[in-house]
Amino acid sequence: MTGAGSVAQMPIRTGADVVRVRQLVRGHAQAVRLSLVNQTKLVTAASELARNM
Amino acid sequence: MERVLILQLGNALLVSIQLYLQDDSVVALQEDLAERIVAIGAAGVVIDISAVEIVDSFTGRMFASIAALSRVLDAETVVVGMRPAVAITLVELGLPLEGVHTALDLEKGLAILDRLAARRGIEDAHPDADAEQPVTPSAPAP
Repeated sequence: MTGAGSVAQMPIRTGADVVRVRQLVRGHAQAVRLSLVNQTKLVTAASELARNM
Repeated sequence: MERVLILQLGNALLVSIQLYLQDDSVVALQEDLAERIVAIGAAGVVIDISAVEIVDSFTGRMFASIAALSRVLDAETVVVGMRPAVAITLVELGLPLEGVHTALDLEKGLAILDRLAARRGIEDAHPDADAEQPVTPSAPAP
């Protein structure tokens, strides 16, 4: 379930997990109806963080 | 590991990024590109990112390092097809994409490579001719 206020956890172990993080975050961003630009910013930020793990 | 296909278009090389590339794929792409640039004496590399939904700093660094590598091998790099949302995010991130030219689409990217090649030819012949030969976007490709 993705939606406002929901919480998801995801372990980041491999490079492939970065892709899954981005998909998860994009799903949430779409669920709360962020604009495409804001979705892109949010997913980019999530990708940066995930890559740093 | 995803291996990115490199296509040849005249004296340019075309790379279309379809997936999020892992580190090993990026290294392989750089090695393949370096070999192909030297093999055909490429004037430039066009990186098509029209399928790319986000560009983070790692991807940005990949473009910059491909551009640096290409330049050492006497080739220029043009990134084409950037989505508007990606452009806005890059600017707000403060990610400059150093050494990389950009164009809206493949056709315009190839035109930039032609112009740059012509300009370098002029500079080689007349090292101080740069100011006398301004290159404008409307200049026809030779």
